[in-house]
Amino acid sequence: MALEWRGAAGPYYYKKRRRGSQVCSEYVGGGELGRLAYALDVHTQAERAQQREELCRMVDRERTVDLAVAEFAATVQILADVALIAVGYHAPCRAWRLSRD
Amino acid sequence: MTKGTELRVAELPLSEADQAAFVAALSAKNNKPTAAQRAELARILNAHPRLAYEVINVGRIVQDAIIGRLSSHPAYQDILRRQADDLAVSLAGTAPTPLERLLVQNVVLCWLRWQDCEWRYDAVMAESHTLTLGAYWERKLSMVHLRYERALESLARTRALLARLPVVQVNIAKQQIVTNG
Repeated sequence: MALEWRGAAGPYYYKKRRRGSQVCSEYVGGGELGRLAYALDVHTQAERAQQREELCRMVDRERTVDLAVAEFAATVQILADVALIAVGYHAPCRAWRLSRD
Repeated sequence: MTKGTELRVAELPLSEADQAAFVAALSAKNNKPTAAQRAELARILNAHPRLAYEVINVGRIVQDAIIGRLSSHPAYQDILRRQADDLAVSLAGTAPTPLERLLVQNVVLCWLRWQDCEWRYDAVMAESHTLTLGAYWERKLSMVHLRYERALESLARTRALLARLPVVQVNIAKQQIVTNG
């Protein structure tokens, strides 16, 4: 994405797009119209980058809370399992059974 | 024994030998832990009467953090605390054992996290949002709801299993639990 000059003429605004292994230039406009389209695209890209950053920050915050809840749940499960084992249960095939001995 | 269990056992306030006994018993739970392992577990649980309450306190810290995220207003935080306490009381019943209290604390925590996600999901859906953000919150909501269901299942299962025994003595906290079936 760039403004291009052809000698003294320009600017011309071309969008670059990838099609498979090739990068193609798509003509958008020249002169003031080209400048305007370019400015609009730059603004849109900056907005998208900001949204991506916000999403990353939010995902990190949520992950921290989820991790704390998951760790607590896992610790509780360990203690519950230990208590069941202590009174004679075991868990063949994930279902708890009382040992016969 | 699930992945990461050893790491979580290592965080418990126990000596290295006691942690090793926990890990050994949890590893052997599919193939019947031996009588000696069971006796060792009972000894460790008796020797650490405050263990359940220490873990519950960790849960309370996480609970307060989630309530703080849900609202910055003290009055609304009080309402949420009250709701969480009511849920805990209704799930715990009349005379909960320390183990039940621990499992109830887990349910309450998972319930609060679910409420937190529901609130955030509603806020996102009410406004214009990207497909990625919508999909993220859909997945998150499913995940936290599943965790809440698992916490409830765990409480119900442990209760049912312990009630099935003629006489159960578990000293997971200060009071000795005696269940007469």
